[in-house]
Amino acid sequence: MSQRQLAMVIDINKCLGCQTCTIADKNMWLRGPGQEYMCWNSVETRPGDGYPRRWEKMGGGFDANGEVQLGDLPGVEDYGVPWEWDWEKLPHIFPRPQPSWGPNWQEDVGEGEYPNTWYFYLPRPCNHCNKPACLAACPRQAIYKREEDGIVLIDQERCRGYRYCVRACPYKKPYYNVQTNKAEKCIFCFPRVEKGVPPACVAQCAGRIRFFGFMDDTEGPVYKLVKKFKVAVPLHPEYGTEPNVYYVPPISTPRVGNNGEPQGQGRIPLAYLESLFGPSVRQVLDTLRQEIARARRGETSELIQTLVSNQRWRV
Amino acid sequence: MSRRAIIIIIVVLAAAVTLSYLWLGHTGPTQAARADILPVPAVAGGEDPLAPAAAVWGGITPIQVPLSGMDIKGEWPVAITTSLEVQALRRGDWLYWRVSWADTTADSRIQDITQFADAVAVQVPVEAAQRPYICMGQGTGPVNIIYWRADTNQAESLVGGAYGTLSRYPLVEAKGQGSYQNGRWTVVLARALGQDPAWQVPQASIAFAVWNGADEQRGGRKSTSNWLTLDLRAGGQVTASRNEVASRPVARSHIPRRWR
Repeated sequence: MSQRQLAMVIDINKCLGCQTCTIADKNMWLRGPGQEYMCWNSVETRPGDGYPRRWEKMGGGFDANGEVQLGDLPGVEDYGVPWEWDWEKLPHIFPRPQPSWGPNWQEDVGEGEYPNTWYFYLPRPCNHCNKPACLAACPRQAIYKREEDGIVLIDQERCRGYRYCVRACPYKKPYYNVQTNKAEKCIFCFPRVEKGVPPACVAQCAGRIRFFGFMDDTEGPVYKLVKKFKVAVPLHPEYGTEPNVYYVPPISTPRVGNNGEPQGQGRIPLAYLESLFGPSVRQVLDTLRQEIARARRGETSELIQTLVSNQRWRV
Repeated sequence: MSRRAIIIIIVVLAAAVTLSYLWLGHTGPTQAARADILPVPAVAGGEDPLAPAAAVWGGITPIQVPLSGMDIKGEWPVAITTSLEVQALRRGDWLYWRVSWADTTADSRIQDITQFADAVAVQVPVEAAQRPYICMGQGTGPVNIIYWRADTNQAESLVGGAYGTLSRYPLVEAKGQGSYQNGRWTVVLARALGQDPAWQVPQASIAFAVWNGADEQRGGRKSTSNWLTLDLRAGGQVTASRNEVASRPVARSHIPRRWR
């Protein structure tokens, strides 16, 4: 672990699925050759197979003995082969090659029967883990975790394109660049952070769903949401990497009857949320509901004030 | 002649052709003898030996070097390259090696995340009088690796002092060029000797490694040889004895600090 740790909280309840974060990241860092297919930050519709396709089935992370596991290596088609538009055939243009997958390919597909359909968006940058599996798997000593802020970086000088990091990361957040023969990944916008500016995905978020700061900053929103109010939980804690991106899980819309009357239960199966965020998600949702009720009664809820505040970062 | 006799003759002829084909395939087009010493004859003038098909290589006897699988990530190579053939020569201030090995696929382009390129490397000690640890050397005995990869068809000069330390080594120039024909790679690797005082020796250690891209071989997942002896005396250009070299102070300023 590093001496200090930058962390992010993403409030899924407020995510519009607009991909402004993805595009902010893409515009800032991913305009070079070989980066066409990459979205260091992606937003996928859940339930769904995600980006890359079926990443949760590919393995990686640490086993019960703390040994790093090498998972599968996704191909470009699992992310989505980048396409070009056939502009010469205006006005009837088509993408070439014919797309078969891409970031958020299953947009708004969801599950359930009308009128009780459900889905939510899951934004996913690199988790800048306390125990990065990418770092553990790299035989080149090319990946390091910065002492001063815990940001995990791939040294482009040392990387030789072996792709063990891609295989070991259970979140599939290192990306291999076929042009440079090196792996690359989200850098938590460290050149911005070093100047006191939050990462582009945080600053540009239209829904203001992202919070950012040092985990030991007790006055910051990240500390409050994760440690004080305990309403932000990591994605797939069972992978063993101790992520530093936390999620405020989605409060389910109520199921409705044939006449549109609320039926009390939520549409999103609790078991599904537990499969993503672990068993503590149940307590988190209870806390959120209690605090929302308190705010609706006109009482002061510091938790709700934190969640709706525009004081979203301290770096 | 009866019809039956004709059929028997045809079958016998077919069997003979098949057997002779298999026999030739088994022995291979070149029949290098296995040896632990690789002589380095000196060559003056003529065409650049960097071209794998350069005529000069035709006059140099190859040796056969056995290889075995190696790995440091717990995933042993499946498609082990069992041997390679190597020739060496010295021309001016450069050492050349022509390395040839069988590979059923030429993996010379990386167009997808799942593709890996074929590659070959020559490993020699930074200081020729040493025989460091065979696997990437050690801190007190670094190795110089001339690494060629099929997708770039270029050689890199690298230095290593333990697992995971491999770095670029601008102090030694390297060249490489390869071609794939009839199921074999033939690659010429070259290392500049220049005025390198650490390489004015009669003999030096040398080792080889081959990566089969189709088997996702890269890094530690590869086929490697043991140390062999590179015999530099054939050129008659030896200017210092082993003892003189060993007593010379070692300059390591070019070795990365983290493992110096």
